[in-house]
Order: sequence, then structure tokens, then C-alpha cells
Amino acid sequence: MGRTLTRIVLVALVAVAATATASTARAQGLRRFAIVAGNDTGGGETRALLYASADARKVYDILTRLGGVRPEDATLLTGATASQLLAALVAVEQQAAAAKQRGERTALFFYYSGHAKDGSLRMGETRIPIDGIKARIAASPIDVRSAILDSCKSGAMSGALATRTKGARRAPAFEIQADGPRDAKGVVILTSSTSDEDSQESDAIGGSYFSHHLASGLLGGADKSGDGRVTLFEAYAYAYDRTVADTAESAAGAQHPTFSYDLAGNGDLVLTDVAVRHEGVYFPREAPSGVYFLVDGKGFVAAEISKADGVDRRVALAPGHYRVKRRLPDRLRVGDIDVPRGQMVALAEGYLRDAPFSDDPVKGAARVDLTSRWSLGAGATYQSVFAAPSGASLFPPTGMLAVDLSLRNFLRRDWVWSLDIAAGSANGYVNTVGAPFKFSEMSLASSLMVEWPGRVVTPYVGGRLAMLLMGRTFTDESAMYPAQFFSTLSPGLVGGAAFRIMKNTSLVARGRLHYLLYNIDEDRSLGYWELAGMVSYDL
Amino acid sequence: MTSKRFLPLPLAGEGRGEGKPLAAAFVFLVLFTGACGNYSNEDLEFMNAVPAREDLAANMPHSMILPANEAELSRETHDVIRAFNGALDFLDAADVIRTFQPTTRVPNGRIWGPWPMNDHAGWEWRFRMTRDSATAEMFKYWFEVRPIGTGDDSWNLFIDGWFVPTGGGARRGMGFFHMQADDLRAGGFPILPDADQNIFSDLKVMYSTAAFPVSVTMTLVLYPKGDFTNTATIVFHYEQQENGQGAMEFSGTNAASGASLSITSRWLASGAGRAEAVGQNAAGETATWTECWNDQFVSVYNSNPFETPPVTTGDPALCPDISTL
Repeated sequence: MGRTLTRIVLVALVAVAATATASTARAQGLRRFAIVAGNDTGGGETRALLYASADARKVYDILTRLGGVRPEDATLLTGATASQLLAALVAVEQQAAAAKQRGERTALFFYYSGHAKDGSLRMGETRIPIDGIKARIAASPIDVRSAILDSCKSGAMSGALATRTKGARRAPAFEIQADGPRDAKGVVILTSSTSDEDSQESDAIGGSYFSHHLASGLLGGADKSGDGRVTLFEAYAYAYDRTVADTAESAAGAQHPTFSYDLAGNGDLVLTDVAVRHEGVYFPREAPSGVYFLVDGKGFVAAEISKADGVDRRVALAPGHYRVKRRLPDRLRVGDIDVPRGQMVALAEGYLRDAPFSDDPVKGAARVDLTSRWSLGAGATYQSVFAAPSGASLFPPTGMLAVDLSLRNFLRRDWVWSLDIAAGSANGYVNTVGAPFKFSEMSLASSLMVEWPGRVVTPYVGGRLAMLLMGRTFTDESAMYPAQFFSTLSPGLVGGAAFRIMKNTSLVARGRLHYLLYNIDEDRSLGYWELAGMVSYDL
Repeated sequence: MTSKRFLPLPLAGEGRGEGKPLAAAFVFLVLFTGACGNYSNEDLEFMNAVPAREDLAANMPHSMILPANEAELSRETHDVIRAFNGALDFLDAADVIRTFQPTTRVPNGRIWGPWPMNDHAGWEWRFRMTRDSATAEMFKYWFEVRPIGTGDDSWNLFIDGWFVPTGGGARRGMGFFHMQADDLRAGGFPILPDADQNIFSDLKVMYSTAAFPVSVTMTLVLYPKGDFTNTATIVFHYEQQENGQGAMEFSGTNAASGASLSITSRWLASGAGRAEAVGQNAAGETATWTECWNDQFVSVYNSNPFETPPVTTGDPALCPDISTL
């Protein structure tokens, strides 16, 4: 399910609780800044990631919604270059310096998700040395800096604090108390894996394991203390447990997040205040224990909550409709719940019903393989111009045999690039001169489509550019007309749906609408439609 | 390959893209990246208007091998048919029009050429056609020649004609063409005499292929023996039914002597036929010669008053009934 990926998440979050009892969001005199960045591409020798940018958006949303970061103090960078990232860091430092001059304490939450290789963060075609970003964060004048790095071998980032290894550790055993947090200063770094491990994404959860569980923890799943606030250590402990558990059986091997810090003063770092908006789902104490999946309308897991017996949990979900799933050994428990704005909805077990595993609402789980893959299709098409009958006397309705070769998830996730070739013939008749003819056509085309994979049905739409080669010979030899031909480029739209009938085999129903410029007698804008039925096999 | 973008003439639809730069840009892109060919229904309509020799040529069945004792008027009929068809030989050149796509396409018009004339070195030809959509789809055409290297005002008209298609098949309709040589000859275009040293002057052909019987009326004017002070006018009228029955009327007048000869021949698809030849001398005296032949082209009845003494052989009851023509 999960895949090895090269990913870096660098979270710099400074969340020094103003008091042990006051929430982070309500902290007095603490100005929070956030730089949240994600980049799916890492330039040469890397393959595009699927969820780096999505994870960044998710974290950005949580920080601005629950983390006490004002929108004007938060910067979201997706697909940014190294220079843009550094520029954002410089800008935040300037803002923080101004805040400090006003007597405010400052905190920075820095998150980056993307490729890392050979000691550098890969941001598209640009790079930034990990040592450089570490040094920059370490030297920043901001009072408290926190960073999360989610990438293969990202534990090397923790090692950057080896010069001051206080607190550097690999296990989630924290003993920091929430006393005297006002004086807390320093750097905290979380990484998604150790220096010799790969970090992995999961198509089932639609994100990286680490960031997914971190986000779920920040939404409330990690609030072990039950006080409605999620501290850095709680979030890390939750993400660590869940990430290790989910990746233990993966082909890439278990992934162990790391934690290191260099803090002066005591204090816990509260990251999110689950209660501040008082909206989401409340799991009462008496609710059965287990892992609850809260699935959004697109079929992706918005939060994954591990609930223990005898404790309650608040999950600060955004308003919306969710499906709730709890997995039992022999079945699922599934139900629907609506989260109104400003309300915390209690989840009663009575909301849930038994369901077979085949009704798993997590559509992402159906995405068996989102790696780039080829598929080969063959079938028959029927094509007809709109401008009948005059158009038909030029280009008669034609049946064709078609073959196409498609490449999925190569350019982008759920994008399909396809090459197709089709050939066919038909009999036609030019009424004005009473000339019967034999029409033949070959088309060579390339399509770029977006599809929405489903368990059984996968609809898709896209654009297509075809080179049409058409010709005709006149069957009445006494007419002595020469053979005629015509070639043109024809742009069009394509849409259809694939119906999976076996693991690697689908039936495809497809329609096309094309523009056809005919310019021999005169410039005429013709159009034609095409319907096709095909069988597609995933190679 | 012909491409309209190289034509010096206005293109169909030119200027319609004004104010639509994106559309124009796309059309431009398509034109320069792929759209090309000769795929045209209108070309076919123009080609269809050009007469074909095989449509107009006379055809008497089973005439490939003729007996030595062929009936005399049958032999005359065959000679007339050969002369008639020979006058249409130039139409073989028209097949070029149907075999090649036009050089230039303009709205309601096509041009083939100019191309050098293979059999007249130093000369070139062009064939222009127009379609007058206002007059029942009448196609008009002009075949012109000029010395190579001369200007547009040097074109000499050789043939002009028209055709109105009626549908129902290739080249079905009514047409006319006029071939005139006197001005060409005066312009230096070489026109050689035929085997009998007659020199061609003028040819008019009116024809109908709209339905059976196909009919062709040809008026041929020659300078006999190269004598430009004298003309011989020969009128042919040919009809043919779908089943192979045919008829040929031939009349010739010598302008100098005033004598004339008219032969009317009819035949069945089997080849059997009959003919009447009416002669008139300079004094205005006429006589009619009737002869019938069987499907071997051997005389079965002959009544010839031109012989001295007049000859009558055979049985008139053996003459075939060819009343449909």
C-alpha cells in the first residue's frame, strides 16, 4: 500500500505554552509564525511524489485553524523553489524581529514535505543543503523554532543538532513538564524516519504515513492527556506509534520517526488547541476502543484516531459530512456523521452499522497501485461527422478498429497520457455527381486525460489531438476520377468510463467530440463524434 | 501537391477570420501543420462537366471483324463512324482534366495548367472552368493555348463549351462545345491536315447524356484538300439506346459544287441494320439507296438506283425493324 518515497517534511514549530493551563492559541504575548511547504517534484533521478503538496496543505490548514497561527503570519508554499523557501524564511524572521521589538515572544513552525537526496532538499530542479537549512533555523533569532522533516533518511536532520545534542533521542519517551514555559527557547526537530530509512506514502490514506498520523494527532487523536490541547510530544508520540505500526509490514520496512531538541527552559510545546473552535467529533469515554477512520467526501481519511478504553477524544474536524469506520476482525462498523459549523458532535455507537469489508468507505484503499503503469486497449469505434448529409458525402460514417497505449500516473497522479491509432473504411456516395467511393481513414492521436479512479468505475475526461489521414477511391471506373486524400490535425475532447471486470482488465466506453477543419473546397468547420467500446488491459 | 496558400487568387472564405485572432491562429496552425490534400466534392463536379470521348463516341456492335463482302452501306456507316469518332479524338486529352486535381481552386472555378503541350513544342495550355450557380448549375469551360513565355493577353481560345448536369451518374447531362481553329492558325498555332489533306476549321458538338437515347450532333467544317477558298460542312447526328441499338445520320455538302449526300443508318445490338443514302446532285435531282444487312454485316437487301443500271437484290422483308430510333 505504502510506497517508498523520498520525502522531506521540515516542521519548525514553536509552540511554547504561555501557561500550563492556558491553551496555545490563547497564549498571551506569543506570536506564532508558520512556513509550510510541500513539493512533489525533486528534479532528475527522482520520481514525482503524490502527496507532498497535499500534506503541506493539510498541515497549513491545521495550524491556521487550530494552531494559533494567524493567516497573515502563515506562508504556504507548494512547488516552490529553494530560493523561494529561503525568502519566506527571511521574511518571517523580519516579521518576528518586529514582533520582538514590540515585546512579543515569537515562535516559528516550519514544515516542509518533499524530496531529499545526497544531503540536499530537492525542490523541483533546485536544491538546498540540509546543513544550510539546519544552520539557518538554528541561527534564527526567533525564540522557539520547531521543524518537521518527512523524507527518506530524514533522521540526518536530527543529527544536525549533534553539536548540542541535548534531548536528542529516537524514542518517544518524554518527560518534559509544563512548568515555566514562558522562558522556553531553542530548537525542536522531528523527522519522519531515521538517517538510514525510507519514508513512505500510502495511497489508502492519501498521504505520507508520518504526516497523516501527525495531522491526525494534531486534530486531537494525540491528546493523551485529554485536556483538549495537543503538545509537540503528544503529537510525536502518536505519530511515532502509528507510523511504526503501519509500516512494520511494508515492503520498505518499518519507518521510525525521530525527535531531537535543544531547548532552554522547561515547558511543553502545545501545538494545537482542539477545543478552541469547538467543532468536530467527540468520542465519548464509553465508545468502544479501536482505530476510527473519519473519511471525507472524497473518500480520503481526514483523521485516523486510535481510541483507548475509558478515555474520550475530541477530533477538531472542519465542518462537513464524514463517514466513520471502525475495523473489527470480521467486519466493519460504518456510519455517517455531519459536523455543523461551531458544533462538536458526539459519536454514539448507535450511529454505526455492520458492513462487509467490501463496503469500505475509504476509497483510497481501492487504489491498489498508483505507480506509473501502462495499459493496452483494443476495440472498435464508430465515427460520424455532424454536417450530414453534405459532410457525409465527404466523410461517410466509418467504423474503425482501434488500439491505444496509455500511461497512468506518470505526469501527475490520475493523469493519463495516451497514444492511439485507429483505421477503418466505409462506402460513400457523392450525390452531386453520382459517384460511389471507398473511403478509408487512419488516425494517429495523443490524449491527455484526468481520471477519477473508483473501485469499479473510473470516469475520465480530457483533450485529444489527432492526425487524420483520409482517402477515397471511386469505384465507378468509367468516372475516371483520381483518388483523393486529405490530412489534417483535429483537436477534440474525450470522455468515458472504464468498468473494471477483472483485476487487470476493464471494459471502456468512450465518446469523443472533435473539430475538423476542411479547407480544400472552402474553409469549413466540421465536427465529428465518435463512440467506442474497448477492452483495456493493465500491463 | 496543390496547396491554396500558394495560389495568387482569392481563396474561398478569405477574410472571414477577421476579428477572431485565436480562431485564425488555430486555422493557421492547422493549415501549416497538417491540413492538405485534394479531397474535394466540388472538384468532382467540375471534372464531371468535362465531356469524355467514350460517352460521345459512336459504337456499332460487333464491328471488330468485318467480312470482305460487307454490305456497302454498312461499310459506309463504319467509315462515317470512324470519321465521327476521329473528330472526337481530341477529347482523350480531356481525360487529363479528370485524372489530375486542378492546379488552382477559386470559388466556383477551377484551373488546370498552364502546362506545356507535348505535341506542340513551344506552346502551353490551360483549361479554365466556372460554375454559374445562378443558371441551373451550368458549368462553362475554356481550353486556351499560347506560346510559352507570353503574357496573359496572349491566350488563344481553342475550345469553349458548357455543361448542365442532370444527375444520375457520371457526366449525365446536356452539353455543348465549340472547337475553332482559324484564329489559332492565324496566331501561328500549327494545325496539320488529315490523311486526305483536309484541314480542320471548326467543330460544334451538342450532346445529351441525360437519358437514353444518348444523342450527339456534330457539325464539322473542313477545308477540302487544303483549299482555304472552299469549305465542306459535315453534319453527324448519332443516337444510341441503352440496349446497344444505334443510329447515325450523316450529311455532307460541298460548298463549291452544291452537291450533297445524306446517309441514315440504324442498327440493332446484334449488328444487323439498314441504311438509306439520299444523294442530290448540283441540278437538284435526288435518289435514295436502301440497303439492309444481317448480324454478319452481309447484305440481305439492296436497292441502289445510283448503279447503272439500278440494282435490286435480296428480300426487303429481311430488313430488321428498327423503329425505336
